[in-house]
Formats: sequence, structure tokens, C-alpha cells
Amino acid sequence: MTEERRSEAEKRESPLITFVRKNARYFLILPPLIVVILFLVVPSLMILLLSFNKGSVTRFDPTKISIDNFIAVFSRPSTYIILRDTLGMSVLAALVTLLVAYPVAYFLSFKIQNFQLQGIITFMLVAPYWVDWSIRSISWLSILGEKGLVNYVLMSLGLIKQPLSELLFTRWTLLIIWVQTNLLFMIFPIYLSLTLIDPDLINVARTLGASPFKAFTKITFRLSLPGVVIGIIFVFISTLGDYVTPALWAGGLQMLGLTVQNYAWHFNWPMAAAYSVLLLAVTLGVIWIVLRFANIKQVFYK
Amino acid sequence: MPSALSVKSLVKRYGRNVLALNGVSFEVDKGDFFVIIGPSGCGKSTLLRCVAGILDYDSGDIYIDGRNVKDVPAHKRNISYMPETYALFPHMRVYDNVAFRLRMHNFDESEIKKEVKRALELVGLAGFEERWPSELSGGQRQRVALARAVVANPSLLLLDEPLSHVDYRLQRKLMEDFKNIHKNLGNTWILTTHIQEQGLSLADTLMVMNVGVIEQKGKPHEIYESPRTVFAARFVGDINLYSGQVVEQKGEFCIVKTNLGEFKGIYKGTGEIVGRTVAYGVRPNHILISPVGEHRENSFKARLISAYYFGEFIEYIFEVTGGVQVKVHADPMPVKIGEEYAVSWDTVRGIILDKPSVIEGLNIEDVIYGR
Repeated sequence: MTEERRSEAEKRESPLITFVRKNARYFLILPPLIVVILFLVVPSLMILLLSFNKGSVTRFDPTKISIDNFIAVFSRPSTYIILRDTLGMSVLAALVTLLVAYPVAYFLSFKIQNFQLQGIITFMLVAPYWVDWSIRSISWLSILGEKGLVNYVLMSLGLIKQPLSELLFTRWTLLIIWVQTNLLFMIFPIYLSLTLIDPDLINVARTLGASPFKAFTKITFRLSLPGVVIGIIFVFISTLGDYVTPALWAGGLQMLGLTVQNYAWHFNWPMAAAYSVLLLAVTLGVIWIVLRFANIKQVFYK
Repeated sequence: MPSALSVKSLVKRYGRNVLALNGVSFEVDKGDFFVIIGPSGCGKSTLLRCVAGILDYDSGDIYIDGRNVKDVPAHKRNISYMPETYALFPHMRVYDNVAFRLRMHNFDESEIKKEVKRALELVGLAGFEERWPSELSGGQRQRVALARAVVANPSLLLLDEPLSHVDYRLQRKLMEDFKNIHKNLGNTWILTTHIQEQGLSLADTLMVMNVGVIEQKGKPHEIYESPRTVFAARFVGDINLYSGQVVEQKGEFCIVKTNLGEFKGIYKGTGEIVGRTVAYGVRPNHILISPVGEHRENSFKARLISAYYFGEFIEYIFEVTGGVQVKVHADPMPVKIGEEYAVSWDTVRGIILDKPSVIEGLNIEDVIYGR
């Protein structure tokens, strides 16, 4: 079609069709956008509105607007203990997961040259996630219990006389389970960013006078930071709001997610909503700090 | 005075079957501009990496400034290594890239500033300190990598394939730049290349490598004029090569019977070669073109089939009946494509070689015709 004939055809079509045709690329994101708005943005706004209501309502009531819920949340000393425990456990989980995951990712990308072996190890890392969540949870009993694997090994090595009872139903149980469930989500982004590093960067650093340790801190670790940041964010997102694992394993440790669930369970939806808003704020705040701390622009260098 | 680098019987295997370096031994003088040339896969990069200390080798010894570096890690060898990809640190600005070596050796910040400035001026990139590597062109990246390599003047510089990403026309210019910087610094440089002609004449010493072995080492003109093997003759400079049988030998002078006729030439080896199949070679710029009928030695009739303009010379391609071609490099002259001329050369220009390569067991005709 020549230019002239095309413009003639354009004149004849309806304005709506012209609009759609000219913005076709934006319409491509329409289906996911609708899903996100319908199932994420709208419910979040509903929770936000609900948190400004009082009493045992399950629907926003415009006649009962107040900020009493937030006053109640922030005037309770328990809120600060819950915040401290939630944040503390999440940060600890992120750090321990990082410490466990980094060597695995490093080993996988630098020390194993055999592609097939890499595949087998990756498969073994993924395999536990195919086991049902509840079965995986129950299996912790046989590992961490008084007659479990850990106590058995420690006692037969003579390291302890009495079985450790702190392994189950304490905050350490929660930590262990969180680390295990999040390990893969830390290993993979780090592994990916490590495989993207040109080995010659490390070679050159070494010949320029960097010891293996210096070459690691100045080049390898620095260039794997995008993976580390993504891994840490994954752990935060999945632990900060988690209430099932703390409820089952933490031995009564109160967490933000658990508090929300408690209020919702007792039909105090506005209070649950207020704690939800707090949880959302904390999560966003933590992610913001992580990105700020890691200087995102430098991490994702051009 | 010990040599800058001395390699003794170096052996490197990859896996069980690949022998990358098969007992390589050579020395590099202090202050030399040393070029290793060989086809890709010949082991020259492997050799450089072993010297740099970033690749383990199976046996043999490497001495840098007289010191055996077997147990000396890369960061204590006082060398610089520039890989083919340049490997600029992407998360550092030009300044920090160049300053890396100085920081690793705990220089003061004021001294680092001075040295970085000096190194960037040396490569002609003053004022680029604040740029990111991603903001540089390929040529600029290479110069930053060079500045980073020469800063604090390491005793030995190892540049892997520095010419391979450079335009054909710029190769010679780049070699001249390297040579000038090298003269300025006075340390020892070792470069590898698989490119045959450009700027090779600028090397102080040239070493020709073939799969895991050294074919020949010497001044560029020595290898050019007196190659020891067919492989070395083919790899340094252009050459017309023909196989033939030696029919007469009188001291250095021999007569070789080829498909094109009988030619006289020089054999620099020792021993009796009469009756053997050898390579007879003549460089394109040593061949004369003259009208048919003039009597000269080593002369035959050939038809001019094409001419290519190369700037300093013209490449004339002649064909003899039977499809054998002769390449001649000469000044522009009034010749016509399609006409017959006599091509000839002086007997002293005829190179007779009986060894295809230092590698044993190769068929000389396969090497001559590049099979």
C-alpha cells in the first residue's frame, strides 16, 4: 500500500479504531493490568479504607470513619515487641539465608565446570519444593524433635548429653524453617549474577595485584550484588507477612502476620486491616532501605 | 642479567586428550617487544595465561626476571595481563579502573591521582577519568585497558590478541602506538596475534607457534627471509609455495623440479636432499614481471588474470596452464589483464624447505597447500 492510499484508509476508519491501532502496544499489557487492578490494587484499597473504620464491620462504612485503630495500634506496647520480633526474625532469616546460599551459588557457578553436573545439582536443589508443604513441615519433627536426626547426631558425637529441646517450637525453629524454604530463592538470583561475570575480570584483577580475597570482595561479590539484593528482597517478602509458619513452629512468638490473622479470626476486620497497613508499610520500608543501602543504580550498572 | 621471561619445557593439557602446550621452551630479553604469532588454537593464549599465573600448567618451569614463579601467585608476579576482551571492570569509572593496581599496592591517594593521569595521557585519553566503561568506544576501551595494564610500570606486560578487534587499516597504527608506549616505558611486552601481516615488522622478536610447539623464533626479517619450516614461511608474510623434487644439490644451491618447471633456489639446511619432495617458495615482492621472450633465470610464461590495488603495491595474480597461480606484489606497471608475460626471480630469492613443520609426521604437500 502506498503512503497516500494508507492515509486515505486512515481517514475513513472510526476514531476508536484509530486510537486502538495507534496504541496497540499499550493494549498488550491490558490483560495482566486488569488482573493486577482487580485482585491486588482494589483489595489493598479496600483494606486501607477498612482500617479507618471502627467496630466489628466487614464492609467499609462511611459513617464510621476514625483513626482510632491506628491510635490503638501505636499505643500498645505489644505492637513494638511484635514489630521488633517480626523485623528481627526477617532480617536474621535474610542474613542466614544469604550466608548459606552464597557459597552454594559460588560453588555452582565457578567450581563446577561440568554442565550436566550443574543440572543435577540444580535439580536436587529444586526437588524438595515438589514435596507438599504440609509434609515438608511435618518432616521437621523427625529432624528437629527430641529423638530427631539433629539430636541423634549431636548425642552420638558426644557433643551434648541431653537432647536439645530448643530445636522445636522456638524462634530458632522458625529461623531454620524460613532459611530452608527460602534458600532456593536466594541461591538462584546469586547464581545467575555470578554466571554473568566474565572470569577474565577476576583474572585481570589478580594480575593487577589483588589477592584472591581482594579479587572476591572488589570484583566477584561486587558484581553479584544484583543477585544478592534480589535474593534478600525475596526472603523479606515471603517472611514478613508469613503467619502460618510462625503459628505452627514459633512456639507462641507473635508476628505481624499472625496478629492480622488473629484479629481477622475474631471478626475485628478494621483492626486486622490496620495491622495489615502497618505490615505493608514495614515491607515497603524494608525494601526501600535495601535498595537505598545497595545503591541500586550502581548495582545494576549499565 | 637474567632474561625477562624464561620458559622451560612447559606442558599444559586440557582434559586427557588436548595437549595445548607440548614442552615449550624460549626466552624473552629484557625490554623486548616480543610478538607470538600463530593460528587460533595453537596455544599462545594458554601460554600467556600460564605466565600470568591465572592458569595451572602440568609440568615445566617459568622464570620471570630469573625467579621461578611456580609457587608465586598471580598478584605477586609484578606483571600485567590484558585479555582479548579487555575486561574493564564495568562497575568502576575509568579512573578507578586505572587506579586498581595502585590501590592494591596501597599507594597514597595523591600519588594514585598523579599516576592515573600519567597513564591516561600516555594512551591519549586524558580527561576520560569520570567515564563509565559502557560509555566508551571499542578503541577507547582498549586504551583504558592498556593504561590500567601499564600503570605503576610492571616488569612484564602480556597482551592477548590486542589487534584482533581492530580494523585492518588501524592494525599497523595501533602497533606503532604500542611500540611508542613500549619505548617510553622500557619494560618487556609480549603480544599474541593470529593476524599475519600488519605491523609484524615492528616486533623486536617474533615467535611463530603451531599447535603446542614453537616453529621458529627470531627477528622478523630473519623469519621472513630464512624460514626454517613451511609453516613458518606461510605464516610470516605472503609466499608462493610449490612442491617439487630436488634434482641437483651443490652446497646451498639446489634445483627443484616442480609442475611449473625447474627452479634454482637456496637450501639453508644441512644434509643431502636430492630426490626428496620439498617446498619451493618465493615471496610475491621478489618476483619480476617482464615481456615474454626476455631471457632470465627461474622464468616462465603466465597469463595475468587479475590485479588488486593495495596502496603501497599492486597484487597481480598470474595463472599458468593447469590452473597454478602465482602472486606478485609490484609497483603499478603498464600491463593488461588477459595478456601473457614472463615472471621470474633471482635464484637467491628461491626458498627451499624440506621440513613442513617442527611437528613430526606431517605430509609436506598438505602443509604447502594448507590442507
